[in-house]
Amino acid sequence: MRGAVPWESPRPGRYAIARWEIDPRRTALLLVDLQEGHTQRDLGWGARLEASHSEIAAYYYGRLEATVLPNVRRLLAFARSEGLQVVFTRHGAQLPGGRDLIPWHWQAQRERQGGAGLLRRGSPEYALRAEWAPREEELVLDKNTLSPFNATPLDQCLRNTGVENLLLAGVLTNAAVESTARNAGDRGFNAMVVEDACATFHPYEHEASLRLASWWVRKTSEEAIAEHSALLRG
Amino acid sequence: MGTIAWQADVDDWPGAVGEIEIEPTRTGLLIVDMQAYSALALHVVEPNRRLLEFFRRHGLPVVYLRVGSFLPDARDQHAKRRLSWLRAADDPVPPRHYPGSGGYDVCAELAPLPDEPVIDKNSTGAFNSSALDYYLRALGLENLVVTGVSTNHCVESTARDAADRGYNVILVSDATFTADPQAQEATLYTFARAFGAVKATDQVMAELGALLAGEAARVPARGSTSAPL
Repeated sequence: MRGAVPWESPRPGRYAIARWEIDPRRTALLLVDLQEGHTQRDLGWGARLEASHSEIAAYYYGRLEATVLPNVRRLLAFARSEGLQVVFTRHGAQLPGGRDLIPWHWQAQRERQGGAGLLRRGSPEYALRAEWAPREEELVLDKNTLSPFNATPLDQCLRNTGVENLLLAGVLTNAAVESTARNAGDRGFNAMVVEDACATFHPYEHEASLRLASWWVRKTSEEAIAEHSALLRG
Repeated sequence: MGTIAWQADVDDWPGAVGEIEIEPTRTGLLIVDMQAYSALALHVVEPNRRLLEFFRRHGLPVVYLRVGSFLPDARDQHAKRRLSWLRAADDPVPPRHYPGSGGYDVCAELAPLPDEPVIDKNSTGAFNSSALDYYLRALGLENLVVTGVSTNHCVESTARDAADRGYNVILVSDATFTADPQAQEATLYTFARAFGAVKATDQVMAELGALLAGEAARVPARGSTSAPL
């Protein structure tokens, strides 16, 4: 079962870990903030983006619908069929008035300005996309931070369930996904960001985030599935 | 309390906040990994020295981070880090930096004073392997001015996690450095949108200086005889 997968790309002048051995049974799929309000054109961000930043809305929802969501469906079906741990995060205010957000934080500012971007726990926007339908044995973690390592029992749950490797997907690539990948890699998990299962507001940010990966690596969903399949069959 | 420009120049990120209210006396300087062994640190000693002098002059806390391993053989680092951290392509073995090893200390130009905490970490982000959050809260800090090296690694990971913990983080564009200019730019770009503010050294000192002066005029400092009453 254990086996090496391609790891870092060569970097000029720098030692790179070309391959890294993992145990594929110890991989979890972590789906970051793929909630209704972050993925539906008419809910949460969607309603506001269309009005205030129509170019961003066109790019973001176009990429989600054409690329990201189909790949997440494939990853989720694969993880479930192989019995890999699945973890979902949900992002937003945990209390109706957002009092749980640190008061001077930018999100609270947004809240005070009447912004529609903040999802409130219990609202339809806050819910995971209905199609994910999390199962009893899958973790759903609520957070009011970008990285779940900063304010959820994620680290504890992963270590207790024996997870060593993470496949990360979700939104936004350079915000919540990257912060999560940075924390995961920094804490010694083998973190793999599935690049075609992530999206952010601008192509430049998406590419810059992935190009500069440090302590985590990028994979396409095809690579992630093929590498894991090969090891799991081995 | 006073208002400070935050993401005022950002119009391409939904949810950017133009200005926020801060308590300027609760601002600390967080100097990331400006250690003697680091060639990168040499590029930004001067702006760091100026900020250090400004914070000390105003009696605001300064906190230093140092990066390395806790043990000489780096057993305490995670496996991939132990194998490749700071290692050049042709290094037969990875370099080791740990408390007591040559050049591990903060560079001489920025030498810490006895009452300035120096916090060691064996990870990229300081919150992943140190009691930094505890120190910052104990010092009563709400706002952090973050400088040091390298921008897209230790500085960015630490600054992202500080913002996640609710600190108002100002990343200093010309007091941070990394070898790849595109990486510097990408860090500042994303940070100024999703995490906090990005300002130049002069701007930080001017804006914070003005807020502190306003504060001093309103509230006489404790034990001060010169403050207006």
